[in-house]
Amino acid sequence: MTFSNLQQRLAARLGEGPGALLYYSAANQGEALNEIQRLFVLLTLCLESIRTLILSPGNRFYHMLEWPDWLLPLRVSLSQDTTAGQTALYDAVLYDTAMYNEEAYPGLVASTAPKLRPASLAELSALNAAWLSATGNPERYGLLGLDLLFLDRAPIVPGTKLLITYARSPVAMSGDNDVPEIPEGDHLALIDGAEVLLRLTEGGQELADAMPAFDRFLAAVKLRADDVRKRSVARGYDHSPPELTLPEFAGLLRKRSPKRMEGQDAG
Amino acid sequence: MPVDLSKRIPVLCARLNAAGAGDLVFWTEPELYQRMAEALTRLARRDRIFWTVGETIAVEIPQAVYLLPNNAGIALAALDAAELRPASVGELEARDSNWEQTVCVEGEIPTHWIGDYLGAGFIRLYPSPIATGELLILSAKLPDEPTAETPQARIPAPVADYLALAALQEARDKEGDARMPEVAQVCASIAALYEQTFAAYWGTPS
Repeated sequence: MTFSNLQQRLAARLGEGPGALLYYSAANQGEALNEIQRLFVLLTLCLESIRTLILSPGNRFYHMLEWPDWLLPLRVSLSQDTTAGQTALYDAVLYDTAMYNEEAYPGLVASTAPKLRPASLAELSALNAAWLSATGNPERYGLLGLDLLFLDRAPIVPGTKLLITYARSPVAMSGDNDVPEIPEGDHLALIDGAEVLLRLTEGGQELADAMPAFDRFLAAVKLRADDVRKRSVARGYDHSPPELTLPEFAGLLRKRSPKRMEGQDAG
Repeated sequence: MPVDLSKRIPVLCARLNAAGAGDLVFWTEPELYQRMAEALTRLARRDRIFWTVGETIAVEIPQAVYLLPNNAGIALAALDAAELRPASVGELEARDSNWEQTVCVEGEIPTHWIGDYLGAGFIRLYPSPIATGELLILSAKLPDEPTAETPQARIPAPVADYLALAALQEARDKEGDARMPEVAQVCASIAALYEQTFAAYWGTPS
């Protein structure tokens, strides 16, 4: 489903006529669809990229938000790849299909080096009390907070690279023919979620009536997250989507029934 | 690469039934930035998601206490690349009843650190150093508050979405003719989903 298809279906859901949009501009609908796609991907970690990180000799700490689509590392290994990846973007050559890593993708060579094992600072300290002065090819890595990647050893050879598979945010859709990056089976969930975001403008009964759509969005999130969790286990990834406590949105704004109100009055 | 929060303002305005920042009646643009900044600070404080390897601190003789500005937690302290171990006052008292007066002997360097010494914001080394050196601290920080003049923040895009949602929640919960508690309630519920996820992915427990 293209961005244009999604916007048309969303407009119909919002009660906008087939002609000019009256209450919800195309820009606002587009923002809502992009925002809900980012939330879907955050909750499911369903998008991945592979990029190389060029290490600086002597440096064991790296801020990964230099990659603007960074979310979490999934697999890290030493790289023998000779290309350096770029940020994910839409590629006109591939008919508005988002390419995850334009430069590295076509010529990517799987690394034969073993993966780096995840570790906490305390584990690195326990394994080697002098780890902060250890040099050589790293064998373990960890992540602190949003983006601080640390290595158990600082490389000494210039040009040492890591091949990092990471969960990433989607590329924002803007052109009519852009296609959401999430799996096609989940495209309808974007309409469900975006409808609620747009109904936040109105509130009241319109918002209350739209709330079941958010439950449908979350049901799609749960299905996809379950799939991604299984895939993560199978691939030996270091992170997978969390099991969240999902509230029931349909009941969030439900009015109290007259019967319950009577009962409360009597009490 | 920083996210530009000014791009979230038109979206926020539209959800507040305004054509743009100049069309806001019950709120102001700086107020929306403040609400986003407050949400970011609360997130940073609660989940400690911003970690940096700070500038090295020059250790002087025989100074044992050093100020750590804007510090929301220490994960690692090292003196000249030798990691120091965290300790509490109780542990040091059990180890050395005269610990506050103890200084390193010749050739020795401090072995432990105490965080939040003399209240928050200080780190104390034990034993007190007798040689100069460079103290490296890996600590959690509170982020710079985004404003209309400096709307950039080093956060992933979904965190920016969360900040805008939190600002909308606050705006719609503000006492006045434009108050819409049901909108604030839905925003809070969606924001809770974000918060659960942020804590699971990037949160660092105290």
